[in-house]
Amino acid sequence: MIGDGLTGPQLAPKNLATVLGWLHYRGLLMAGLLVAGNLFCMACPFMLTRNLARRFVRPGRSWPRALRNKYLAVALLVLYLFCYEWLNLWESPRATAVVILLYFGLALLLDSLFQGAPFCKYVCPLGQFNFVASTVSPLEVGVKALDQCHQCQTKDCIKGARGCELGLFQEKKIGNLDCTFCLDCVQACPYDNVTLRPRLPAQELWNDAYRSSLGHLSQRPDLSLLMLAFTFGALLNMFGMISPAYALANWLQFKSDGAFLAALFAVMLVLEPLLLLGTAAFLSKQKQPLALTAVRFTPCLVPLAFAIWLAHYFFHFLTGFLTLIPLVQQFFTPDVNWVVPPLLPGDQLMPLELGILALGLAGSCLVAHHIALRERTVAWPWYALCAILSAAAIWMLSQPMEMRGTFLS
Amino acid sequence: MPRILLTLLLVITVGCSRPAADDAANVQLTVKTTPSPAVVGENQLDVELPGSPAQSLSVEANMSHPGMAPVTATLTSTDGTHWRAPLKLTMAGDWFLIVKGDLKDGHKLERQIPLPGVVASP
Repeated sequence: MIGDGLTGPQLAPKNLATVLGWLHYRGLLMAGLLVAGNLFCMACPFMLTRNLARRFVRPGRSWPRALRNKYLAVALLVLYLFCYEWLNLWESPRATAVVILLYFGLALLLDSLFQGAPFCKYVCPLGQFNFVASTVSPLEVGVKALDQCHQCQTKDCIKGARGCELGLFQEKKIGNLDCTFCLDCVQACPYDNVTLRPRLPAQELWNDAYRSSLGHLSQRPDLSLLMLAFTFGALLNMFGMISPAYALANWLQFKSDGAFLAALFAVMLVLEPLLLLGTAAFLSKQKQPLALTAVRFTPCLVPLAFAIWLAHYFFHFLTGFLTLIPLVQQFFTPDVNWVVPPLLPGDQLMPLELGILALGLAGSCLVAHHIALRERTVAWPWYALCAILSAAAIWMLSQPMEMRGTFLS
Repeated sequence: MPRILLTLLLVITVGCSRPAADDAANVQLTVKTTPSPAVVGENQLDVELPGSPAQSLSVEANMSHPGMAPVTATLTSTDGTHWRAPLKLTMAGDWFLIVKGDLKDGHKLERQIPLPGVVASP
């Protein structure tokens, strides 16, 4: 991908970097999260350089205490989404290759300087996306028998040579947040007591018990912000490729794409969540600050957000998957037929997308119901919020698509 | 590790070996759409090859986003220099055309022509 992105033709539909990066990777990522779990962190190529470097360099520093949270990751995730739109990464093989190289470089630098895996846990925007999305996955890494853990003296899953570098202690681990599915813990456990097992998807979102390395979800505003970026970023990412976004840009008459995007991001990632969550929290009538109520209920948005990302990425994946065939053929012959059929006929895409959104909405309402039971309050404001976000997603899916390098014509 | 390095080397080598088709770099080519800017739906595409008549010419229109279905058109001509074809574009946004052809002097032509800002039909 890097080689073709830097040296191949700068035509997005005919370059490995852009096609594999923005089409196949994202589609397969969501499919993996849907049917299994965080498979892409498990097979992350950026760890190649880290593992290679650590044969020669032993990092001695600890990650700064002030950065041991998700705030930096949230900022980087938003920056990543912004650059995707602003620099039109999807249409530039070279820029895509540079992003991959920067990723390799940053992972190598940070993990050569600092102990553990701070890049994965506190920095990587793609990893944070996967962590949040994998909360609705059907598999998780967990212990077979807690009794065995209680009797364990060595705690190899956290202290051993192959102990978890993200600080997840199996005995207290709940769910998939911060788990890269590397399975080091499975190999580290001398009692063969750690395994990959099925579970009820999204259940961890209403579980507020203490979890290793993360504490209580209800006391983590940084994780809540990450979930909000994941949720409203899904709508923003979809909005950037429909005709109304371009009509709005021209109507507002901004002087540059960057200024328009900055305004759009401010509205959709700051004002809109503040307004919607503030209202829902107010209507929940809890005797605590609105922000605290919002933090406690934010996890309920994740299943719907996952569905929006899934519907969006599956559209591209199912319509363009077979372009892989001519993409490979072109390396051997100039006479290639680029017109390939979609995996799913166009008229069946919309019903599929609506079905995915309906399941996401149901999942979000279920999580909201359980959180409301836990918090002893009403759930309907959060049902209403999920319904509003679902309606926005359906409206966007029904709009004519438009993909341009610039918002302003 | 050797397997990984070998795979990387193979990918880079293959990436560098993509065959090039255009050996008529000096040939002048102009493209015009009617209406202009092009719209979603039916357009007329006119391609001029002044001084360099072609035997056959085809056009493939792609969107800037990977994975979107391309649109193809076979152009027709009476004199080899002025070619025309209907071109049905399927979506608003940025497109680019790839014009391919065999010139009468035996050379092969392949050009990329940007077609930005295709607008929805009024």
